[in-house]
Amino acid sequence: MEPIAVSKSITLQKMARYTGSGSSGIHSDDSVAHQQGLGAALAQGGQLVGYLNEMMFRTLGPGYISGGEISVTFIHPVRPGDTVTTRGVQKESSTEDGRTRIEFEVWLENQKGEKCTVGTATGFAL
Amino acid sequence: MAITWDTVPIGAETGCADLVVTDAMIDEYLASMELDLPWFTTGAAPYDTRIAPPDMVPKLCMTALFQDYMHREIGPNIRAKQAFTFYAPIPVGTAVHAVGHLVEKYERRGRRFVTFEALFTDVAGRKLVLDRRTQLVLGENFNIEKK
Repeated sequence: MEPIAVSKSITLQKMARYTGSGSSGIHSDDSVAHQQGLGAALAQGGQLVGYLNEMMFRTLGPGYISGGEISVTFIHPVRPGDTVTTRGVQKESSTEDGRTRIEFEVWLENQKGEKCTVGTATGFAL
Repeated sequence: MAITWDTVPIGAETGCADLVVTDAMIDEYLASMELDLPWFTTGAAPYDTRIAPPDMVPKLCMTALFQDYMHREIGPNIRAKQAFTFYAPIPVGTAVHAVGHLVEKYERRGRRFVTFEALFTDVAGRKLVLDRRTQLVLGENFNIEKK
């Protein structure tokens, strides 16, 4: 099974909307991010793992909504102007409570093909 | 830091959160993520009603559960790792409760990390989502150059 990839263009407006009013300015304000040694605003980790979750929702549906697991590491910053695409490769499957659990290696890459977020996700086959 | 690295308290409660999932919360989250799957937009089989994207509730509660504590006690930070376990769908109208805990700290390659966990449950105590996140503490010598 091949995961259903999704692509998103990243803008400061989208980052600020995702972040909302209750979170740090490093995700919505270049000057705040610069003050903290981050260079410029960077997309929030939750936004990026959310795109990987979307790929898994589209791929496994209820088998991911109930019983899905994901674990990722953020290895490269994503910033306004980037276009990110989710990717995945099926690794293993196992039987759990009579259902088939599928494990994927997943990652989010930018328009240069650089991996930005990497990890694994699992869920039940439909 | 309000506390020193050596005294970062493993096992400490870092915050709690309670919310009732509303249509407006889901609408805003879907718009921010450009997400349009029918389980979340209107409701679709096999669910009886509209459900929230399972990572929405942790997003809405992260400030109360983790970030207020981080900024008050430890300092600026960014997320280094994130893990979720999605146990059950979260229908609109669900009252959700969670308590955050600081569960681990470690140093790697000269950087310091702290890990938090929160288990989200409904009023019946049924498990909904487990959120485990690791934050990189931004020290004075830390710098990510813009590429």
